[in-house]
Amino acid sequence: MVCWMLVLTATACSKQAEQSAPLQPLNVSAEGPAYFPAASYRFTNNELTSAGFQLGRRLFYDELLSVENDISCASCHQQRFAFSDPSHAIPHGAHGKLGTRNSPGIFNMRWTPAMMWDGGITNLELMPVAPLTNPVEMDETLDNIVRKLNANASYREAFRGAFGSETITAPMMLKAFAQFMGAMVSADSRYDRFRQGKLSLSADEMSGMQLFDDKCGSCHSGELFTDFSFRNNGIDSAGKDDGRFLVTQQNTDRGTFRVPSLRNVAITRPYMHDGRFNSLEEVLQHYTSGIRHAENLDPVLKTGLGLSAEQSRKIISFLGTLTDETFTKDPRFSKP
Amino acid sequence: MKSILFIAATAALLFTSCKKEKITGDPGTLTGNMIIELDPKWNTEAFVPGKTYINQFGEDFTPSLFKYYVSNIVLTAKDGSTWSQPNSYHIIDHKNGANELVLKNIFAGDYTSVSFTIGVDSVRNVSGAQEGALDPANQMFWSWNTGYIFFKLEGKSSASADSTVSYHTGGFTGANNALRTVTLSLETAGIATEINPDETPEVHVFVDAAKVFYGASDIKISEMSSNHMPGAKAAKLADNYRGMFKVDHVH
Repeated sequence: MVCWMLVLTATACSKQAEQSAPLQPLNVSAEGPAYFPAASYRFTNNELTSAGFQLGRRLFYDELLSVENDISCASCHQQRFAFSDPSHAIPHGAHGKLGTRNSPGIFNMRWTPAMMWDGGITNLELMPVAPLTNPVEMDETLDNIVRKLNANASYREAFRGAFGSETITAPMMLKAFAQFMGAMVSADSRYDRFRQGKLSLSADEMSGMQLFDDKCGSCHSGELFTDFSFRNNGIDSAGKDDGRFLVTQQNTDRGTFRVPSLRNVAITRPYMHDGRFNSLEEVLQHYTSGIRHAENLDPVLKTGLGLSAEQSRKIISFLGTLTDETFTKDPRFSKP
Repeated sequence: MKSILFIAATAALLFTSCKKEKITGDPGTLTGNMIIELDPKWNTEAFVPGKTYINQFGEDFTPSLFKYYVSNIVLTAKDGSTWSQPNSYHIIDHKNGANELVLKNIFAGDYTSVSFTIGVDSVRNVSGAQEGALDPANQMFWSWNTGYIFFKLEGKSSASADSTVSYHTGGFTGANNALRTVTLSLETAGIATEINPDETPEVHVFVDAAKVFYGASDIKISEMSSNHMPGAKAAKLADNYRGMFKVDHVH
């Protein structure tokens, strides 16, 4: 309750704070529940503080960071959809250019050892460089972003508060982003409350969970609902997108993509690396009867999952329990 | 002189035992500095961006950018002890003549070789957002496949289908490892380079950009005009450019 009040106070003060007083400190714990695995990002050399988190939050929502000052991270990563983008299969970036891969949700990044659909980025601090500088996303240069930030007295003040430095640098900005995104923990879904013995799930959800473990659990395993591997799931026989091959140059990685976490999956449509499926029904339809043979097709998918309509319905019912509304409504992560 | 030698020897001993911790500048030990001058060349000519050169295969090449990382500089003394520069990461950008690296607080002694890595070691490639030479804003960083760009040579050539030449290398794991170590002798006619508090030796190194195209293997612009990712092509470039450094003289 005390914590909640702090949050409200801070929200109320944030507008006026831009001109004068520092923001009220927030509770910025980035701990996951005991049943989460060890985190891969541990805030080494980047201690999580209220000031750093608030700065990262402000940067996340600021259009100043794009080439024409019209796109922010939040343009394609919206909180109410667990920081994904339901309206575009592929991102619409600077100058109306189109990206090639679907904007994933952002949560539990501390537990994500390799980011992006091809796993090309392995450190949370370096993740923002890709969308900030990609010509089909925000199309800025780090140099120019740093120039724009240094020209802004209010940002200089915020960076001084977070990092004690008079001059803003790109690494400081990246560390602030990592504090904000690192603290985006999503672990209060109905599934979590069930896991913690706080509520029970419906009969459909329960049998959906069993079916899920049986049919989907070999890849979407563990409490993050992914084994963090890269697999070819047979959506194309010969890909337009070589996926992880582009990172590793290994033929065995051609057409493989990151197995995504299924937490919040019901609210993070569209699905697949190119956002080709608009519903979970379509996704399960694919795994039942849509698998195409590909050179690197994952062996577990060779014969399809063979799901009946009833089984699919139950699995989707279970997947709905992974939606975390505490996270999607948490005022700490909202636009400041 | 005897006492200097004694101190140097003691220092060397001390240092050897501490090598892993990279302790430098033990108080009470005599130290000196060294300057390494990296002087860009095209064969024996001066390397000047905008000037047109002809490579080993008769292809024209007009460079616009010649930039790389030199890191983890280590000096080896006559007695086998080593001195490592702390936080040793440098971007060399040959825009205009030679670039200087100043090595400070080296233990006094006679040094026979210098070695360094072209690129950024794997540890620093996975250490998150870093300042200075390792700031990702230095345009020596791949955003989509996280890691530092070790080396860039860019320019124009009529031998290239799109008239541009753009060689970027990087990659620090497994078969894609493009890190290369260069070791150069600091001996002149068998005499090692002496470091002491009173003199700062200058090591003039010629950096021959023409060697990027040949050496370990032939790289014709007509067959390979660009590379922008880790992999076999980056490794091939790295095998060539590791041979582009040569000590011309020490004074």
